[in-house]
Amino acid sequence: MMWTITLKIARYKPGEPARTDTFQVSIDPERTVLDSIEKIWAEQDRSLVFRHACHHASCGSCAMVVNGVEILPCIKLIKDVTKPGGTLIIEPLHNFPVISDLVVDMGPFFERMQIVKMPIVGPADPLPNQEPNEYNRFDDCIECGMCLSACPVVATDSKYLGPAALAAAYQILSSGDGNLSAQAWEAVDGEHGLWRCHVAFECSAVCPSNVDPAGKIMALRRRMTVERIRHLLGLGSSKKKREK
Amino acid sequence: MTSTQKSHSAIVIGGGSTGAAVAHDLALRGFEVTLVERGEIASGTTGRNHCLLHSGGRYCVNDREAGIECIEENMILRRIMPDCMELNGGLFAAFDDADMDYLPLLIEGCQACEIPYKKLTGEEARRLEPYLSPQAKAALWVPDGVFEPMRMCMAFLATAKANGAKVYPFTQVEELLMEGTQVTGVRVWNRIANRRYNLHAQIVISAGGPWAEEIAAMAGIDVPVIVAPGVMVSMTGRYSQHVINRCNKADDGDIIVPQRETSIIGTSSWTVDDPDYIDIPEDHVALMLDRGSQMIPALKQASSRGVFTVARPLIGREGEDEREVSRTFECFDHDEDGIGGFVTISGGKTTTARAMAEKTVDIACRKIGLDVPCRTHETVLLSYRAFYTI
Amino acid sequence: MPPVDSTSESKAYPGQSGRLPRRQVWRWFAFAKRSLGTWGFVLNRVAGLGLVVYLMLHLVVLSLLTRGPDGYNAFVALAHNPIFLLLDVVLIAGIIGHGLNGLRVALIGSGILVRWQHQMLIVLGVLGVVLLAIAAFLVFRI
Ligand SMILES: Cc1cc2nc3c(=O)[nH]c(=O)nc-3n(C[C@H](O)[C@H](O)[C@H](O)COP(=O)(O)OP(=O)(O)OC[C@H]3O[C@@H](n4cnc5c(N)ncnc54)[C@H](O)[C@@H]3O)c2cc1C
Ligand code: SF4
Repeated sequence: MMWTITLKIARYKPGEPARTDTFQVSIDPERTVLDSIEKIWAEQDRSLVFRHACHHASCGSCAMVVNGVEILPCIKLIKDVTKPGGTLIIEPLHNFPVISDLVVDMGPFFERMQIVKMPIVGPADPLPNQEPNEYNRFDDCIECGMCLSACPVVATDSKYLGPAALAAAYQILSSGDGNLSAQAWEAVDGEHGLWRCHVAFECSAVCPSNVDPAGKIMALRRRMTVERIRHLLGLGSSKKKREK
Repeated sequence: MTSTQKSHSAIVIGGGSTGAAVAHDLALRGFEVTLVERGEIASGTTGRNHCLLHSGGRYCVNDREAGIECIEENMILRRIMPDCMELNGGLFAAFDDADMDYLPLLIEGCQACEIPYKKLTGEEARRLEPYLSPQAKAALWVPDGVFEPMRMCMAFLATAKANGAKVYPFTQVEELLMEGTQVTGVRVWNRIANRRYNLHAQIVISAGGPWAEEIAAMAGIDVPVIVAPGVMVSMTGRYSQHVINRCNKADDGDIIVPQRETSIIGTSSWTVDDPDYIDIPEDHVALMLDRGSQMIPALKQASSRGVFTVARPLIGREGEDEREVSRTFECFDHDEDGIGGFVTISGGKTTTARAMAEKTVDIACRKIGLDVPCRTHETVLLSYRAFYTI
Repeated sequence: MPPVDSTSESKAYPGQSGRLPRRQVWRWFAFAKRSLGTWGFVLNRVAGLGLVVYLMLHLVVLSLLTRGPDGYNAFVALAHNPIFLLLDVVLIAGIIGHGLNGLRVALIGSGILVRWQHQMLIVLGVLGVVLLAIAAFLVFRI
């Protein structure tokens, strides 16, 4: 079975005004939104640029905004976002500079991830009934940037460290002997750090990988608050000292 | 070394694992490197593959050459990019008599290719992997691993950039520039800015994967590439730590790769003409689920997270059975076709990208009379994140 | 911290620098497709801004006192107008909304009941409506 659907895609090329192009594509509704965009590229417009690689929600590169919400189009089936004859409005991620069409510059995002140094591979919990062993696996966070796009605070404070990096900081601090560098502390606890969050929880709503950044930011805050209070009361800081 | 001091220049076409490794090797040997990729890095075959860092077990029975390549490269990649792989090993599990008959062949293959292995009883295997089917009679442990192809390319390219390489995504080669029978550069279409211009270099290396035939045709050369896609199904939930392989000769849906919180079942094989957009045969998806759940029955209840497909570049002639074609790579120095300054590298695997690059750059060096040894096997790569920040 | 919307030359796409997204205050209010949490966020922004405006007006009105009783009495007469009373209700709605949600934000922000932020918003929302109804009743009875 094939559906014919309409895609309204935000277009932009350097030096030209931004515009919206409308395409019609006939596609099996069991295939993904990303497939429909790739099909348009292959059959109708080779100048369309968009990022993609793994097609199974692991590389994080294809994130975009469809009908007003951040999605990972590689795991969103056509049948789950529209109906036969329906329309999809496709835009690049918000809050990032647009390089061309649906491509945004992820540089500043990766600089953030690099400052906190999120390890991309960490220990894997044993499966039910499995003998414990030192297994490892990729971190949940696929570094897609969707949380920064959805965050209303990033929209007006572009220096905000953002959900993904703050969640990573929490993860590091709560793992075995994890600690943050002085530079990371400065970013996490600074003017544009975790106290900026204004609990819209949108990051956790859009995250495609169950990271729950908002929950982690709040846990990090509690931890810091407790530490401050202990400090005020002269109890000294808790287990983890700051590396200065 | 700054680029003005470099006296040798090369253009690499294609930003998949092969092109990325070639660019890194060239930069390390002092070339001035420009890599052009028509899409995003790893948007071709590489990004969409099965993510298995092969131990060689899959090939050691039928294709010793490929088996040896895999285990050698597996050991090197662990060293040079230690921070972006799940290294939990793999099991070749035997479930029926035919599988049990294959086991001694597999052991013999592993010995011949020097792949480390450990024989396990069915019970031992299930203690390691409780979701494994109770039918499992025996298993062979091998050093398989799991990577992320895009991050792998980024790591190669970040290091290449640190050594002076220029990397241009969304830049498509439309024409090979020729002077007589010598390739002197490429004419590209920069799809970001929607502009066309020429780039020049002493040597042009095509690492176009399944598109290598199309690129070589621009110089009037025929490179025999079979375009053989495979389907993979990514299931929600992690059901093993090891890569689970069926202990039998390569067949459809006989590998389950755990990655993050998913299990990827793959793969199948057929042939198509155009690798740009591939329709997924419906029956292949059902086949993956069926074959996969023979090894891990819990997958029957799991929900599918995504289905994807992409084309292998196999070196061979149309009409040959694509499962029988060797999975090793081939490097074509087109001097032999009477065209100078042009090299094609295709076939192979992401696991063997570094070796492919080594051989290709050896040829490139020979062509311009340069004698610099390869150092990629001992050079630890930068973090993939550096690709975005340097 | 480099701004997310930095428009210096891109490292991943050499020779390119991105187009700055439009200034995005309006995106605080682009909540139609968003989750309940964002509705809470928007409510707080709107109510907060409203309360600031109200405080300003309030000060202006109070400053009438300095100009003697006439002006002030005229204002009080106006304040008994039903439309004005309605505005009072809106004011109370703002205070209740901002106050209750502020409580929620403060709790969550200290890492308390984080998992229940959704449910808390609903419960506080219901509570707020009840309080508002009582307040409206009192306002219009006077
Ligand atoms: C289904 C499947 C599963 C696989 N699983 C595994 C696995 O688990 N482990 C493993 O090690 N290997 C695996 N492989 C093999 C491996 O993925 C490929 O051999 C490898 O990715 C090939 O890389 P490449 O760089 O040569 O090709 P590609 O990744 O295809 O790179 C070629 C690039 O060239 C670009 N290009 C094309 N034309 C032009 C042009 N005119 N100008 C500029 N650029 C151009 C393309 O966009 C493309 O990105 C699998 C392959 C398939 C098909
Ligand atoms: S936290 Fe979630 S939304 Fe944010 S970058 Fe990571 S995976 Fe993407």
